[in-house]
Amino acid sequence: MPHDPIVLVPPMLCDLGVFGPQMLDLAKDHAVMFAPTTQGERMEEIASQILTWAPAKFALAGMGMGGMVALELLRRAPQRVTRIALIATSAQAETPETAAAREPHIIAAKGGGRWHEVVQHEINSTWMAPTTDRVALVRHLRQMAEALGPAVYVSQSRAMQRRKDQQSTLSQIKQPAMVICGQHDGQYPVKRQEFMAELIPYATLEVIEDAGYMPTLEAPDQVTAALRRWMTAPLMLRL
Amino acid sequence: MPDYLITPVGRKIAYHLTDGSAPAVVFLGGFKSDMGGTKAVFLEDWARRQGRAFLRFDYSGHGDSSGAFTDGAIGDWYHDAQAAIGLVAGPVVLVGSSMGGWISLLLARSQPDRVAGLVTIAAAPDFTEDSMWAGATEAQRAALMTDGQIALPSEYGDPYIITRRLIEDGRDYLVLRAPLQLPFPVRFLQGTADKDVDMAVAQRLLDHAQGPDMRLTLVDRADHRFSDDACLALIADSITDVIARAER
Repeated sequence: MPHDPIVLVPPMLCDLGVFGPQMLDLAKDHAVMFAPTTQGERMEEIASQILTWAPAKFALAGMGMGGMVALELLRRAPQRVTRIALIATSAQAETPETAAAREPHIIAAKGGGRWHEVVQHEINSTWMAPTTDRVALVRHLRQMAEALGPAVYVSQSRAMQRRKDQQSTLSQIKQPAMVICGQHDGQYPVKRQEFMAELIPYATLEVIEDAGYMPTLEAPDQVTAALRRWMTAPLMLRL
Repeated sequence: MPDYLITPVGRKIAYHLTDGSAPAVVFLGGFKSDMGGTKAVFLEDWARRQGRAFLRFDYSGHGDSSGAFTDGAIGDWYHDAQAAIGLVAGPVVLVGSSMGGWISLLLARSQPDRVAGLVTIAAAPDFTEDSMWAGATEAQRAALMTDGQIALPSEYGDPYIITRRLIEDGRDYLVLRAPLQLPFPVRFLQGTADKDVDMAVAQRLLDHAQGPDMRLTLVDRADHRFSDDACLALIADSITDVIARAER
C-alpha cells in the first residue's frame, strides 16, 4: 500500500529548516509537503489555507504552534487526515497571563527597533537538552526567525493568543496518532504532553531523551525514526 | 551543577544561564577568577528577582571549564565568551570585571549589533601589554622569552604564572591602539583604591572610546574587588540605567 503524503506544519518563527532532517529522510519514499503558517492571525485562517494546499488525504504532523494548527485542521476536516503527529506542542488555549505577556513583545516587534529582544522570548536555550549543541541551535533558530521577520512574529503571536482549547478534539481522534516530546522540553513539559497523549484514544507517546523543545533538530534521527513508526502504525477500525 | 557548551575548537565551557526577559545580562569575570565570585552570584540573584535573563560562565582554564589556566590567553578567553553569548538569542548587556572588561570590549567591537549596553568594573583593557609587559624588568622579560613563563606575585594568594603566549597573543587583541566605537550606553566603574587597575586606565579608556552615552564613575576608597554592598548596589544600578537607556 502506498504511503499517504505527509504535511508538516512548523513552530513559530521556523521555516522548512526545522523539519530539514526529517523531510530529507521521509522524502525517500513519501510525498512530503511543508505548510507555512506565516499568513493569518487565527489558527482557523491558517488551517483553512493549508486545507486548500494539501492533497485529498494526508498524514499531518505539527510541531509547537504547528501542532495547534494541526489540531484545528483535524477538527475542521477529520476525513482528510489519515494520521496525526503532535510534536512539542499543547492542545490547551493560552492562559490569560501568557497571552497578556505577549503584548509587550508584539508592540516591540511592531516598532521594529526592538525586534531582537523579541526573538529571545521565543528562542530559549534553557528549554533545550543538555546534550544539544545549544549555541549552534540558537544560531540556526535565530537565522530562521530573522528570515521570517517581525510581521510574521506578530501574526503568529496573535494566532497563539486567540487559539481555542482543542482538548475535546483530541478525544475525537480516530486516526493513528503519535505525541513526540523532548524529555527536556522547558516550554511544554513532558507531563503535559503525556496528559495530551492520554486524551487521544489511540496515541503512542514518544519521549525523546536527548531533546528539549526542538526535538526535530536536537535529536533528528530519533524523531525521524519515530515518524516512520507513526507512518506504519496500523489504521484503527472507525466505529 | 553548571551546564556545559563545547566551543568550535572543542573547549568545554561551564555556565549558568537563567531564563528571563531581554536584554540578557552577561557577566564576564576577571583573570583567574570564576563564575562563583561575589559579583557574579550577586548579579544572578538580582537578575532572577527581576525576571531578567542572566548568564555567567567560566573561561577555559578557569573554574569548572576545561583546560589548564597556563594554556589560555586573551584570544582563547574572548572566543570562549563569544561562544557563551551564543546561548542567548537576543541582545545582551555585558558586565565585564577587570579582564572581563577587556573581553567585553572585544565582544562590543566584533558584534556591536548584539550588545545593548556595557558596564565595566575596573576594566583592564590591554593589561598584558600595558601592565604586565610594560611593568616587567629586563630580566623578567628575558626569562619570559627563554623559559616561556614567569611567576608574578599576586594580591590574592598564589603568584600568577604569566606565559609568553599570554603576552604575545594579547598583542593581537589590544583595544586601545585603534578607534573603539561603543554605540550603546556604557558605564565604566572604578575604585580609587584599586591596586591592580589604576584610575588612569579608566580615564584612558573613557578618553579613547567613542560613543553617544558613556560615563565613568569613580568610587572613593573602593578596591579592585569592588564587592562591598555599596559597590554591588552601584553595579546593579548601572545595569538598570543602561537597560533603561537602551530601551529608549
